[in-house]
Amino acid sequence: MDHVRQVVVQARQKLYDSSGIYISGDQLAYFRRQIVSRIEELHLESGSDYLEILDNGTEGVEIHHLLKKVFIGDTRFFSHRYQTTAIVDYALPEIIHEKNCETVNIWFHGVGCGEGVYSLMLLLHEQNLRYGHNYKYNIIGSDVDDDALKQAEQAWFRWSSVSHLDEGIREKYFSKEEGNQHRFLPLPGQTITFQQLIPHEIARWQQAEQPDLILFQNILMYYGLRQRQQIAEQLHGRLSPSGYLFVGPTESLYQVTDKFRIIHFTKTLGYKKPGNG
Amino acid sequence: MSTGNEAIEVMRDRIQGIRDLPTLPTVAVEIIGLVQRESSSVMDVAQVMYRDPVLTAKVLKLANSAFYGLRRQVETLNQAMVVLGFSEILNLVQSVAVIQAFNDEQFEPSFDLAAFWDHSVGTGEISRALAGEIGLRFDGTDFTAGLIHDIGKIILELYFHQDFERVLKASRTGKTPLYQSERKLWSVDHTEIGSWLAEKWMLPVRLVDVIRHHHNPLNSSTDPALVAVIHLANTFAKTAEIGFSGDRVIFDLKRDPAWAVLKEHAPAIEEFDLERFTFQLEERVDQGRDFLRIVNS
Repeated sequence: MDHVRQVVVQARQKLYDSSGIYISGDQLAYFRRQIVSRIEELHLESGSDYLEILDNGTEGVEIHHLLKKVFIGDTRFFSHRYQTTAIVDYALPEIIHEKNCETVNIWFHGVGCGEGVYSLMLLLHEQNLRYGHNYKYNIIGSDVDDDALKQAEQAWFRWSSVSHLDEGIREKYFSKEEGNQHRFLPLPGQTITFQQLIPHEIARWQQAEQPDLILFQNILMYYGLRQRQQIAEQLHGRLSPSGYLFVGPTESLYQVTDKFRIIHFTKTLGYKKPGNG
Repeated sequence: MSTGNEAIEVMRDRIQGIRDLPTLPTVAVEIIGLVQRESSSVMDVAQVMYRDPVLTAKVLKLANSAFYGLRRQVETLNQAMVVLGFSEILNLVQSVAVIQAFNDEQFEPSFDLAAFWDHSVGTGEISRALAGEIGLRFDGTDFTAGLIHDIGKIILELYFHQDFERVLKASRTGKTPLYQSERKLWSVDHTEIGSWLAEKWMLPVRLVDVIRHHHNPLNSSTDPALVAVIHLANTFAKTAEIGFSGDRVIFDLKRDPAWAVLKEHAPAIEEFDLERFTFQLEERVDQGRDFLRIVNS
């Protein structure tokens, strides 16, 4: 094993141990580039020096820096295709079946500029059309970042966020605006509202409806184990019985909570809150 | 109208009546027989294996590959048997022999044999990893069992191609497990059919048991822990979409029948980091793919 690879493998382990985020095989080459660039930025002499900083830096500052480097910039529609598919094809139909309801409440925390939440809305609409359903979805999108939320609320997207979508999908769900911007159009039966929220203040947050589905993506990784445990506890409390929690696609709740059932879907995991029965 | 048992007998007769049913190489058959006799020695096995230089070369190449990650080069079969153990060598021979019993030319162009083996080596490799994680040891039988667990599907594809296509489609559209769709049509599924072939090939009882019960580990009477490991590895391989398995699954490990079996045989499974294991699945399979590359080279 070459030296850089050793550093990458060890850095991956440290990241997982401290944040619960696993850098999967397909992200590894990108992760390697981020580490090499970080070593250069810090003017370090070797990868071992960098591992030392990851271990002994102030309160996990470098771990956070690395996490941001790896996870920021993930701003395209359907960047978590498997997770979105699992939600739309399996988790939500199961919730609807178990609750025998026509309206589902969704809380999506970490919406950023909105690509993920609008991807979900688009697929939910397609699903309603395909099966002739009339299910309604009330969605709350929240984030720490107020500026990102404002952008999400406007639903305007750069070309780079939508360029990979089929032209038919772009024409059906977006209006083309000035400067090659694309605006996501409102959908019947779906409401979305945006709110700013700092995760460790969840306990004080008022929510009108109990969510049946919570998406809480790549947020917990910025907290220490104890805070992660507290937040997971609060998410469990908020979620309705038989509801689902989806964290980041390679984010783990191992040793954070065992109150959820871990459900394996195709290439993704979901956490199901046991029902009342 | 025939009863379920009659239908199974009809299917069994049809399969046993197939004249060109794939066979294992003579040397492999002899070795499998030798190993099952208690009086056989390492030398006996080596002498038989040397009669097939291609098989010997492949076994040595595999012994020296990343699959085992040995620190020292192994140059002779005797050395390989000392370093890896008798059981590992037997498993290598069986794995190589089964893979080589089939080739692309036997199949309709629509069947992707490489994808079939990809799922199989994936299951084998995940079995090895899972057994290691929870502290179970099977001396290489886990990999071989994972590799050949779906062998019945090959028979269905080879000799019942059109019906098998229909069954695959029914499973896809109905989101039902493939073995259930097979049973609807034939009253029997690939597990039973695969076990008939394995018996015909005189494979060890443990392997026959895995092939027969890999969808129902609670029915295993020979080695329930091994069957449970293969059952889970197969399920993991399906959720990770490794190769072609013919259907999709959604599962909750703790409600799976294999969980109860493994909790009894490997209590370490309670502490198992399931999430990390899941995230690593694709990477783990790479070594198994090397195995396949060497066998097919």
